[in-house]
Amino acid sequence: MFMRALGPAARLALWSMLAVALIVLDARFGALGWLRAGVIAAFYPAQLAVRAPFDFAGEVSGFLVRHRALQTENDALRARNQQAGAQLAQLDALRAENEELRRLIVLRHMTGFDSVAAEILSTPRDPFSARIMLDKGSNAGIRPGQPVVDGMGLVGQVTRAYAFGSEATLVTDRSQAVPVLIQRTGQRVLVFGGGSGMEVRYLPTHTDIQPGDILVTSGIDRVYPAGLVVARVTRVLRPTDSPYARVSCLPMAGVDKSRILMVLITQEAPAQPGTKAQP
Amino acid sequence: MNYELPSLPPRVEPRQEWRVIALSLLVAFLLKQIPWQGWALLLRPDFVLIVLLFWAQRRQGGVSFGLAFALGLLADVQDGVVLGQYALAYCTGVFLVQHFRRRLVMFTLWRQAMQIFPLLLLIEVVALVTGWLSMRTPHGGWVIVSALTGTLLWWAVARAGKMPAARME
Repeated sequence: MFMRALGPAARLALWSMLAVALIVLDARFGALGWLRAGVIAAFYPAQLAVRAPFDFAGEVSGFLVRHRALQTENDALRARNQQAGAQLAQLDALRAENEELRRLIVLRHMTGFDSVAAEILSTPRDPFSARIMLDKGSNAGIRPGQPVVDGMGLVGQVTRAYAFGSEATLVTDRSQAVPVLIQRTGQRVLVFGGGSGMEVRYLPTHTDIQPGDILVTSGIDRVYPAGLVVARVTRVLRPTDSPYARVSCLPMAGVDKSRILMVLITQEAPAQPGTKAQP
Repeated sequence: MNYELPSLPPRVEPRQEWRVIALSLLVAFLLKQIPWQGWALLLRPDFVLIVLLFWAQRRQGGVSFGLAFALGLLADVQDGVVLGQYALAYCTGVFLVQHFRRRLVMFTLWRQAMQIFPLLLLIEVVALVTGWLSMRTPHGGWVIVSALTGTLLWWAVARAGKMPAARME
């Protein structure tokens, strides 16, 4: 064949051109979703098979945890459960009252969401973004754009959904921006992913924000429902040479700690969530 | 290119050889599927790439770019990065190993490993730069055009250099 007749450098050039064409097709036009989905589906069984012994080992070692430890944990959990139950009752009362008030002033109802529990399948090592692969996909109703949460708060957003798996971008990803409000003052701000932590940008120096403030989603972008806890402010710097304060935060959710996450099945998938969420 | 070297092992039967190559690549691929976490994930080498480079160096005639490309594409899909990023990097790696294989076989194993280090670094850099360019392309990809116009300018300059007035002597 003529490929054999070419020198290695020429062949490398040809394959490089093919790679560049693929990159352009994928990054510019997003035209290769079917190829991705196909390859993922083809290698899904292998991935499951390799994971199986590890899952099994985890279960066995979990089974052999000492009885005493389980008992103390059980007691602690029961106590916490009681506490939580009390708080929940309080919350229900508050919610009812809130509903009443919302109806009084004409406000959009906050709809309840279904949710799907998904396990983290793997964590790709990509220096440009913070992403995780989940083990549930469009078979469980997951669509791109849906928020991913854990018990503590917002973890990220589904960016690609395959048949039996999906890919979520974490809130700490540099391309992620979440519209939030400062819970204490009610001021609306934007919080951006910053690698390991997060930061609030475009905030005038005189803004009332202090370490310990909790940021919750404001819901104005219709991607994230309002009221999800996102981050806690850890440090506020007010440089004299800049009109903006430098505010660092840490995500409240165990962004890289939890194993089981919940995907909220929102009713409407917003348009093109996979593209960069730049303001 | 002629890669016949006396120090390489004698040619084995091709079918048997391919069976070994496929098996080793499969093992490397499965190793990559283990749910690595935390420090192990950070320290995890790219098993598939190492095995691929090994065969590129060991096998007479190297391995084909098509194989490197396909494996790179697989890595792209599994890591969720832009398609073609690792395909390009793997092809570059195979090319470099095959280019330097005469040099590589002369060294002891430890020194071979030392020679592989800058190579792996370069492959990572290729993947990094590709990923970076694909995410934030400067001026809509017009950087390549300046290389083309530069090529034309080179031709003009070289031609000017051949004119009698520009002769050094």
